[in-house]
Amino acid sequence: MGVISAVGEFLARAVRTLNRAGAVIAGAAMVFMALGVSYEVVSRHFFNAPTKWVFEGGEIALTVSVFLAAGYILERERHVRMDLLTGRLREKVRNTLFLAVYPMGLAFSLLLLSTGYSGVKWSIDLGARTFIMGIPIAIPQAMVPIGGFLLSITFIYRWFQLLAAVRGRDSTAPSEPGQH
Amino acid sequence: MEQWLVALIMVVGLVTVLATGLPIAFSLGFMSVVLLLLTEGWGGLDAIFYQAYGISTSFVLVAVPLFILMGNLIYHSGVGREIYDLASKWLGWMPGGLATATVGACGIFGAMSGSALAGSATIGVVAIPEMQNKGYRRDLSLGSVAAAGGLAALIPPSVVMILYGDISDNSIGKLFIAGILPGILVIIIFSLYHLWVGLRYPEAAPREPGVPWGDRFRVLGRLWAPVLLITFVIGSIYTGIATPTESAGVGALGAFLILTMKHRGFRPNLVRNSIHDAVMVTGYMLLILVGALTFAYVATLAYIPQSLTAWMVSLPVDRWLILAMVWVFLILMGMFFDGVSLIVLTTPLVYPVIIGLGWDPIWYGVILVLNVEIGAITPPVGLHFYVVKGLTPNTPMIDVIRGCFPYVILFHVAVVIIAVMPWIATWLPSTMMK
Repeated sequence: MGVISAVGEFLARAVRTLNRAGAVIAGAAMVFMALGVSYEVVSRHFFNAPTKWVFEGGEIALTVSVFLAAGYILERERHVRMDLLTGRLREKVRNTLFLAVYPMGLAFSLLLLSTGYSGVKWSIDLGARTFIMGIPIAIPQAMVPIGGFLLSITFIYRWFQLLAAVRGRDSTAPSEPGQH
Repeated sequence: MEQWLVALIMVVGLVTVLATGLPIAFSLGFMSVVLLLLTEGWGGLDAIFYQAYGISTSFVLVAVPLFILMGNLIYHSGVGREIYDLASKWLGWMPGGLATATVGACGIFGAMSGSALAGSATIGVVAIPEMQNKGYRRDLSLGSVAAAGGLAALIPPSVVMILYGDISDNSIGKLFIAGILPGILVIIIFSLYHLWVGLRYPEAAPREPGVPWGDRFRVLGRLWAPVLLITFVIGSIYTGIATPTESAGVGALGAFLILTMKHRGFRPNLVRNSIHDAVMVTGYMLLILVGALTFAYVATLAYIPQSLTAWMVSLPVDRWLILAMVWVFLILMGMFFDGVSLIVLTTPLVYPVIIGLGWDPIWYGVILVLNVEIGAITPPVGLHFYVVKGLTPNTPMIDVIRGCFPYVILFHVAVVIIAVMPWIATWLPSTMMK
């Protein structure tokens, strides 16, 4: 049991670390968007020198900020849900219900991962590049399967947290639906 | 598979999965997977990747995180208190003046942040105690804050307008500008209501003594930076100097400067918190969009929106009746969904009907956003209830709901006025330079 729980704790820490790293990169992408777009406005209006990279760079940064933060947001249960019915349930019943339905979210996340992997592989095989900056299109596309991976491991992580909460081993497991 | 069966599975399946409490983005995603498997087989699942990656090919959507970041920076700058101070000094002497000041302050804050929840939270934290200390009836103080926060969705910059514009392929700039006059209309309607309450029931909204003009102008002077920010963001879009995305970028930078200025120096903690919250909100919002676009793609494959449009357009009834049906549909959806979900779920379905009947898409965008605001203060699920309840933990939820009730009616009055006089929404965009 000791080994299993140590391995479990290690994996849980790995999930949290990966999600935190994803969120930090997502935040950096957001700062990049703000600075890049502002630079473009100044450069175009005051120096008559529009940039080539901001348009595409902004789109890539958007993809990064959405998909790399997805696991972090799920870990903190901040994805919006309709808790009209579940909000009225006792915590244990609600957690049991979530145990049953989280595999649906996992299924979608795994499909983001697998279809994303196929899509990226196809783009690599074709040698496809972005129109303006000419970087391999597989790089921004890879954010989708990476996001799918982060979501998948976080769904599994949350599922075990909920299981522990239902069994009464860990009453601190976050089970409160974030918003409605 | 028969079209009606696909539609039935779509509706029943989605409602069931949503009711289980699975986050909305994943409920939509999961149901899309089920429907793709049923209609297209395994080969159809590749669409999930392409729909997900599709959001990255829209430069317009870059404005979403930037406006959210701008709103968070403004929220943390503490400028909300000064805005309320300004509004109460200028408007507080009127009958119902503090409630009107709350509405005015929420309008100004909305123009700076684009965030309805931040508006209610920021202004409410100052306005509710102020009004209650001055003897305002509790439901009036709670309702005015909860309802006026929603002005941020209507007055530019508005994140929900961006989502509507992106899905329906309409000009975000025009939608932003279209929201200005309806926003002012709502402020006027609310103010008239407060005036009436103040005159009819003086004990519910005691009148404040007037403030010397010197004090009024002094507080005005402290707000030059936020005023400059609003002028730049809205003005640059109106004049065509900048696109909404560009104005969002510069707006975020401007908000950062305001935060730094207000706190007399760089505050890494506040900036980090602003970015953190912006990442959270953007992430859940755009993941819902990914789910909804995939869901809408499946519906389109099954010709559901097309058939619905053809059927509704062919109905032997006046188009106003169909508009009324759409209105009721939006009200019902707004009772259960937040603004983002309401827009991304209903637009692919309703928009073709609206266009098919010859209604103006910009005008409909304004009507839709007004319904988003109504939904935010309508039970059983009204996001603003929770914000106001969070600000006044000892207040029973029923008081908040009761306080919002007159404003729900007032919002509907605004919808009727704009429906009957569409120029309120369409005139200003028609005068734009680009």
